[in-house]
Amino acid sequence: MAEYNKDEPWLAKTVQQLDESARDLDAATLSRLNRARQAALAEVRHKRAGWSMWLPGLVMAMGLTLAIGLMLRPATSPSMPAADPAQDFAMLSEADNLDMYEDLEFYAWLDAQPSSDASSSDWDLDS
Amino acid sequence: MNTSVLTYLRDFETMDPPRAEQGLNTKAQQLDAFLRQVERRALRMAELGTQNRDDALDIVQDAMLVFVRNYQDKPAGDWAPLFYRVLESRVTDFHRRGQVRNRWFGVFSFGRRDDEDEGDALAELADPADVAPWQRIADGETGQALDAALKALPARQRQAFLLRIWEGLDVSQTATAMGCGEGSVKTHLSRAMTALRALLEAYHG
Repeated sequence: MAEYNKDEPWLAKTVQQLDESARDLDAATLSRLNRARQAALAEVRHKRAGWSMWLPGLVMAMGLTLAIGLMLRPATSPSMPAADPAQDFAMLSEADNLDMYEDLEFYAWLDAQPSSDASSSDWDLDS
Repeated sequence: MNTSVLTYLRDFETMDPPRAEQGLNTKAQQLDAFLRQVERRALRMAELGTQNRDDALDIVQDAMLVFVRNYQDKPAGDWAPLFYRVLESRVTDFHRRGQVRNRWFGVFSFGRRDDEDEGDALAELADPADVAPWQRIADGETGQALDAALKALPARQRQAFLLRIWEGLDVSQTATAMGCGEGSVKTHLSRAMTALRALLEAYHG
């Protein structure tokens, strides 16, 4: 069943009057409508500016930052081995190692002596 | 650096506008044409809803902004129901704000009635000169009579009538614009037609 009959005279007349009321708007109203439309369309340009206007600059800035970072990066230096707390604890816990610390002056004297290679060469000469 | 980025930068620096820009210009032209097509009817609908042209202009401007901001990427075929949905929601917001304002105004103005009207029973009576819509029709002022008849309708019936009969949306599009089911659209339209026919048929003959 149709909701309505478009050919009903009163309905056609009503639509005609509504069309006329929308057509015969005054200049001030039309001007405001035009400004409203232009303001809305500016959103399209604004949306474009949001991503594409900033993208080239953003990419350039990122590239420049990366280049400067690579140039100013400090030269690589050999890193010291990290101290292992477990080894320190093991050293302190064993009695032999503690004895070694008691004879520390002896070991320092021994370290100051000429190397064993030199003494061995003396042996060779004597023989 | 990524090849696509380099391509984009090369396109950006050339004098010819990139393809994306052309697409946006086309979309702006389509939106301009669409808004030109609907703006006057939208203004009249908002005016019938608010009964004030300045408020209606503000609502149409707001609806255009919100529509372009949120729905410009939708298919052009869906624009009309989406635009009118935004418009109707703005008209509804307008009435809600008015109700809240009146409520607060009523609280703060409690006990501050005009002394001249206090105790005056005549002030409580309806103005006999304020004729009903059907009486305006009888006066022969066609435009005012039609406006009065449409304003006298409940908001949902008026929306269904204007969107379906005047704007020419189909039932599905009208349902989208009104944010309700198709059955509700048919019900509201049927009631609107019955009321308007009773008011206008005798006048238009």
